[in-house]
Order: sequence, then C-alpha cells, then structure tokens
Amino acid sequence: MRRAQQGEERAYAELLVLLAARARSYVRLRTRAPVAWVDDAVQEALMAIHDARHTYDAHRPFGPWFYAILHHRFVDIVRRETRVRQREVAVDVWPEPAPGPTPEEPPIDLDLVMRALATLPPRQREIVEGLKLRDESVRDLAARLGMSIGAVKVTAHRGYRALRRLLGGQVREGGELHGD
Amino acid sequence: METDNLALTIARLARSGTPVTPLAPPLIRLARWLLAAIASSLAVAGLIGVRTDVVAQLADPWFLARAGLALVVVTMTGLAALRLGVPGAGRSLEARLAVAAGLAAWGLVPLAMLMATGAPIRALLDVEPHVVCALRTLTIGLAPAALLVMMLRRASPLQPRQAAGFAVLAGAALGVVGTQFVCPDDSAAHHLVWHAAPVLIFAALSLTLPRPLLVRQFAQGTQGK
Repeated sequence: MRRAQQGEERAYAELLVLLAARARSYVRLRTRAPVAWVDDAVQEALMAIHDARHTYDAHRPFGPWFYAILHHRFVDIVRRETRVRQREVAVDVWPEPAPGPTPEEPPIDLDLVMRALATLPPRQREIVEGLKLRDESVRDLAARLGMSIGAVKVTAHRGYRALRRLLGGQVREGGELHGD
Repeated sequence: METDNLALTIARLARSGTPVTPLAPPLIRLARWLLAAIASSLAVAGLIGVRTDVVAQLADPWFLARAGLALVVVTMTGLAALRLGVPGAGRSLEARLAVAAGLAAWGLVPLAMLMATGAPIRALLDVEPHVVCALRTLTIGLAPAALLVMMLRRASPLQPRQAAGFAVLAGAALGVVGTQFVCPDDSAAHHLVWHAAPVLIFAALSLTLPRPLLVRQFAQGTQGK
C-alpha cells in the first residue's frame, strides 16, 4: 500500500487484485446464499479504497483499515439491496444469479488484458479504452474522434471481438469479462 | 450500479493511482487544529471585547475549572472527529462514550454548583434571557468548527454526519471557552443555559448538514462510477 501511495501503478494493481479476492471472500462469507451483486460490492469496495488510500498510515496495520472500509461498503450495499428487494414485484421464476468465479477459476490476469488491449489497432484501442477505462460516452468519443456514433459502436464491437479472440473467450459480447 | 468489468476497474484505478500524500496521524492533526482554533478563538474573543476582570478571573478555581473541562471536551471531541475520519482508526462507540464522558464531566461542575444553591430549579428558571451569549459562542466557535469539518473532508469519514457532529461540538465547546473570557456573568445557571446548552443545540443541528458538505465527491470514487 505504501508503494501504491507513492504512485507505483504496478504495485497498486497487484494490491487491488489481492484485495478484490479478499473482498469477494468477505462478501460471500457474510451473504451465505449466492447473490448477484458480489462483484458490484467488490468493485464499490475497491473504489472506496482508492478514494481513501491517502488515509492509510503505514505505521498502522493494514487489516483494520481495509476491513473497516470493506465492512462499511458491504453494509451500505446490503441496505440498498434490501430496499430494492422490498420494492421489487415478485415473479414466479427468478432469473439465474450471475455466477461469480469459483475458487477453481484462475484469477484475473491483468497483464494479459492490458497486453491484449495494446495489440488492438490504434483506433479500436482508443475506443475500447475510452469506453471501458475512462468511462467516456459513445457520443463524447464520436465527437472527439470525429466519427459517427454508429461507427464508434461498430469499432468498439470489433475491438471486443478481437479481445475475446486474444483472451481465449474471457471476454463476452459488450466487453464484459466472465464473472460479471 | 451498472456492473462493470472487475479487471478493467482495477486497471482504471491502478492507472489513476497518482501519488498521494498520506494523512498525518489524528493526534498530529489534532495538535495543528488546536493551535489554529485556539488562536482564532482568542482573536475573535479579543475583537468582541474581553471582560475587564479577566486577570482576576484567571485565579478563580471555578473559572479555571469551567475553562479546563471545556478544553478537555474540545480535545476529546476533536480527536474523536479526526479519528472517525480515518477508516479503522477509531470505533464509533468508543468515540461516543469518550465524548459522553467528557460532556458529563463538563456538566457536572456547574450542576454541582447549582445544587449547592439549594434551589437549582428556581435558579434555572430565574436565569435572564441572554441570547447574545449563545451568539458569542457561535461566533467564536464557527471558525474552529469549520476548520475541523474541512480537515474531515480531506480525510475519509465512514460516518460523516457523526464525525461532523463531533467537529461542531468541539468547535462550539471552544466557543464556550472564548465566551467565558467575554461574558462577565459567572453564575452556574447562566453558564449552563446560555453557554453550554447552545453547544449541544449547534452539534445536533450539524447532524442535518448535507452530505456533500462533509464528504468530498470523487471523479471515480464511491459515488462516482
């Protein structure tokens, strides 16, 4: 974490991958039954950790800091999900919950994803990175790159397809990885 | 929340993980805050006008006990607020108990003096309206409270309203110390009704402060995705 605070991207990415696994175990342990929002909870916890990383004191243990944030996000999400459930209309057949990665599933290889991205043609890479890494909208990207909205969507689709091929089926339609 | 790709989220966060300056420990930030807050309170009290017998009062045990206990409350609530700003640094229950103990000690001395009069209820009912003292407390305590809330915004309080409540309590308690140097009325009943009670009211009102005032909004933070 100390290296992450100093801006070391590699160390920070490794830490986040490790924390994602811990957060997933924590959520699973506490929810007991499978829930569809495990990955949402993990991501929200990671974002909260990102926002609060300057509050970590390297002279203090990391665990209480991390679990305090994780627990707080978890409680928030449980409350939110409970509220949502109370307002939902009951249906006869519930949709299948999104399957989370099983313990046997290999951990996400961040390097592989980044290397695959780097091999895409520049325009495809720019669009995939814009949509998925920088949260730009299709409209903004189209305006910035001087393309039509349709052309941006088609290029993004081609980029996802290329990524899927490169990552051996880890990427679904729309650029989502397995486990989402 | 729109389900995002975990690996891409990690990549995005890692990429935006620019160097950050770690926050100093709560005790050090408390010391900095106390220095700035006491200086500000003295300056505002000086501007309002210090009571003429202040030098003589500094030898009065009742005066010193009130100021000392108020400063204990200021320190304890200030520390509780700053610790609540750091995840895992302080438990909410412990903080509340510490603050409650400080407040009880602070209130005990004037209450004991009030009881010593033999007719405490009568003394409280006979207190003359003196809203100006509540306003003095607010004026003197405003800058310290605002400064502490700003320091909390720089941190990452998991329970921002509670932390802000403590921050306002600490600032307002310092306002009471300042008011003590301005107001010539030293009766226990006046102190309880027009100096101490407004502090609790201000702290309670601070619980209604809107969340965006208390927590920084991040581009891709907990609210940001």
